[in-house]
Amino acid sequence: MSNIFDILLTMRNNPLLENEDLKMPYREQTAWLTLIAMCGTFGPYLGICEAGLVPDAPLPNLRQMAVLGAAALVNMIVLGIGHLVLFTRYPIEAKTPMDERERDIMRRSVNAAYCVLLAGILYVGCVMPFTNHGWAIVNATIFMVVIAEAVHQGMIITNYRS
Amino acid sequence: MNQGFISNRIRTLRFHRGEMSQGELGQRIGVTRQTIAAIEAGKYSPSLEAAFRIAQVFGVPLGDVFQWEENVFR
Repeated sequence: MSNIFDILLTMRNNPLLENEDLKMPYREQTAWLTLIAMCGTFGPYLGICEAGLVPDAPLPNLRQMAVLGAAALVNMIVLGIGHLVLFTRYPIEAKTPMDERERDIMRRSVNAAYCVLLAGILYVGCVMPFTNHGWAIVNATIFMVVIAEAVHQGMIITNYRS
Repeated sequence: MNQGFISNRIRTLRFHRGEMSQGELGQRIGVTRQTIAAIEAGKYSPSLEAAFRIAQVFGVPLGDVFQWEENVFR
């Protein structure tokens, strides 16, 4: 009686399945990378701020700035290493320009993310200044950017999979 | 508006061209293998230009590759 390992072994040795059918498209991989890097760095940053672990001192509040800088730096490092690894593993796919379906996916995801970003920035820029100030507005802006980027990358992933 | 969908015979035509791979077809018309897979599965309708290119690769008229199917259930 075959178990899951036999099935996996069969799949692994099956020449028909050894083609690219099981491989995730390059641009879906980069979307995952961006999404994970964004949520993995700015998520904890916003969580730390929301939990009040960084004191809400008057501007410029250098401690808060240092935490934000660290999150941005880690995000850049993760993205840089991730893209380098993906580029090294799939150099042809990385250099291939987007085709019409990929451009269509990109256009739809950017449109959706733009709407989210617009709504978020309107709230942050037109409503929050009357009730909040300083870093609360900065962090709300970062939160809106993270949400918009999550929608952008999430839609790319969803569209590649549907 | 008439309800319907676009079907295609790309899989059959690839078979008749010596089991041409999706990657090779994609390379010849300038799209990725995943896009060919999506077109074949009916998940993505290609542009008119890409459709003509596909027909050209197989050396058949466009109507032999793509067909408009009336949806009788709607």
